[in-house]
Amino acid sequence: MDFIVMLTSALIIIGCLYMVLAPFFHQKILTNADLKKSSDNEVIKQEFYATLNEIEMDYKMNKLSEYDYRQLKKEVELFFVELLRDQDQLPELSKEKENKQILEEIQSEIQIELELLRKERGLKG
Amino acid sequence: MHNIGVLTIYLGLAISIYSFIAFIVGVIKQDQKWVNSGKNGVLTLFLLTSLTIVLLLYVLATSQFQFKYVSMYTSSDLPIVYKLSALWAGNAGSLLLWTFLLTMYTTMVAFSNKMKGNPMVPYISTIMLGNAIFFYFILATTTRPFELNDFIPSEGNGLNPMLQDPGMIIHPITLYLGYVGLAVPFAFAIAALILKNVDSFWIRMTRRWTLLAWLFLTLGNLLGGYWAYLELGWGGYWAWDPVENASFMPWLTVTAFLHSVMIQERKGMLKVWNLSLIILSYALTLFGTFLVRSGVLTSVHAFGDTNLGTYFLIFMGIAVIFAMYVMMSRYHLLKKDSDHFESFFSKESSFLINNLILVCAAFAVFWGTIFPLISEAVRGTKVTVGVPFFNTVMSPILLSLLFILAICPLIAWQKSTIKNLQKNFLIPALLTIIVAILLFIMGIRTIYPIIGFTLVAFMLFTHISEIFRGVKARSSVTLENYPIALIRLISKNRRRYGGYTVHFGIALIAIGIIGSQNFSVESMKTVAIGEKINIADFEITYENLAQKSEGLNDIIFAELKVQKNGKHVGYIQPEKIFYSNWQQPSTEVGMISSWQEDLYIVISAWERDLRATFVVRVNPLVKWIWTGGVVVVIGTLFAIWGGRQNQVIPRYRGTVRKVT
Repeated sequence: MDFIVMLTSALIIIGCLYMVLAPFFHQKILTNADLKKSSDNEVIKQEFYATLNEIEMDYKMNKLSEYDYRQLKKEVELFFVELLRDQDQLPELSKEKENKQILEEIQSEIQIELELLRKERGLKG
Repeated sequence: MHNIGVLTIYLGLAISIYSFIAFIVGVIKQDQKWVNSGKNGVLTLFLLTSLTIVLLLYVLATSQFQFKYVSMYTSSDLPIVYKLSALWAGNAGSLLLWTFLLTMYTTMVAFSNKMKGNPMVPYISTIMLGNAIFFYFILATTTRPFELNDFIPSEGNGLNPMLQDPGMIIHPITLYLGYVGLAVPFAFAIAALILKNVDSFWIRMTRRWTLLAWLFLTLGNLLGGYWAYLELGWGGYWAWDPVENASFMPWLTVTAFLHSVMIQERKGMLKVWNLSLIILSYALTLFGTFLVRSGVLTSVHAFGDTNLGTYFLIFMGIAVIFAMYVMMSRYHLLKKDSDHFESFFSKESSFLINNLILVCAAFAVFWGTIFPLISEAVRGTKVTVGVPFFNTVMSPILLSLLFILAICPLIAWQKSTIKNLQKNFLIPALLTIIVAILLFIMGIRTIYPIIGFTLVAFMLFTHISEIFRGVKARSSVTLENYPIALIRLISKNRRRYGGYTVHFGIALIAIGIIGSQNFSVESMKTVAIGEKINIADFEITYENLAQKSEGLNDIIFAELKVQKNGKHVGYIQPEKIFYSNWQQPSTEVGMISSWQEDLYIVISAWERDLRATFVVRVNPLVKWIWTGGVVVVIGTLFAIWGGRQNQVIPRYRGTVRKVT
């Protein structure tokens, strides 16, 4: 009986030692290429559409006046332009020109995406 | 078995210390091999605690009374399920369970697919390992699960009869899962601060962890209340017992946290507040454990017989001071990009008020709980504040919360105008006034119930109105019919509508609390066989008193026929159970439960001539509390599971390291 206990104890200790020491003897370790990439653009896109969607819903549900709705929508769009710039996902342009230009691009992109979505579902515009 | 059990615990202590050091060395030397060794240490630790648990369950199940723990909490006649659940009947077993859950969570984080390649992993693991070292130290030195008896007793003491209840099998596990679960967002928060990652990455990554911990805390509290209601026989479900309060306080602060993080996610505000809330919540879980283990306060379920409480107090102190130091050292970064509130009439503001109310509630409970300790320190005598204090303080807090819950859904993010508010609130407000008038006509004259029920009605109407208008707005854009629009609206906004479902559950719970706290009636009467007890609309006829045996236990039970307004509604059989190995008998409440009320009968005493004394209570609306609890669970699960947002991995923007 004592022998079995000793054998089991020895196996447990050896197993534990193997587990913690093994990484020191392995040649291959994780490199950046193996690492999980963050779904960055996806997050920004999702949050952007979710926020716009909520503002639009708030407006349609009479929680916001038309003026506040347009104002907030513009603010959100500008906020995401800033965010994209922080993430180095926008080309470098002069700041003033850039904001205006990108905002217009984003607005037209949103419009196109929304229209496509509506067409897909066979809905009114 | 003894040697292997002890070995696994000492090995666990050694490996937790080693892994802790390996992570630190790996981070300092920026050497991935050391970090990987630490990670493997975490996995080994989990395997070791699993083995320790299995060993302890085995000796419990096979009644090996040479082990002190087995002989103290089980007996050979105990059903197998209670032999196994004795794992958390005492300090040693429950702390082992805690350690097991902690190592399981640490492993899940260290090997998480979403965290693969993230430099926060070694830091998070180190913080969680700091906790594991503490628990292993306790298991190895103070409460040893495999401690042997000096001589082997022929029979064990048995399990406290009050714990021999299905509710008691689940209740402690759910609470531990909640308590330990909070270690994850705490570790993420501190790791993020150390790495100067002050955006909402850690909040997004731990959203499901926090919700899950909150869900388990909710379940733990509700199951505890349900058990107290059925097993303790005093007629209530919540006695503001120090240990109940211990699990209620973190529930309150985590509830606040779950709301305030939405503001940080959207506007980058309240960073310090959110960090403080998660540190506070985690500290409160340790404080709760200190209360239970130390025995400094009298409680139904305190099992303090060692100096464990002191250890927990010291550990809590170290954890809080360390966390506060890290937070203050990053204060300038946290304040840097902080936004501001645009309007007082916005969802952000209402969330902030909700937070302040919840934190005030937590403080009130904390103050009431520790007051006996303070009074003893100042005056030398322990003064317990009791139930009236808590009810007086918490009633207005509950009402304020209901009010905030009612108005919150109808306010927009960022900005709302008075005109819009008037438009949105008109119909719910009118309907609420009608409800208030109806309540008055129905004969309710006392102020708290009228305000309480009215606020609950207001809350339900605003939520229904919000959902209806959401469906209408969606339907107008997508041309979907209303049922489809409702399903899509809800399934595409799981977080929001899961939250609303939780609010519905809270409304049901509030109905139950207000009803049972204000309209309960109680009568204590000694009657002979054939005599009747009249209470509220009930007529209860005492028909028989008898005795039966169940295993080694003797049961005395009474048979009572129940009529309501002249109609037969059933029989009730309250019992007193006498255990062969336990001095105190336990109470089995006899009950007929309906949506309207519970008829709740306890047999208190009996004479040789078969006269018996009964405590009879009519507790209105209690069933709504348990139903509300189920709705809360459904809502939380709906918010946790599925949805595209939950699959997304946010970008890490903190300090970059070579090791991950």
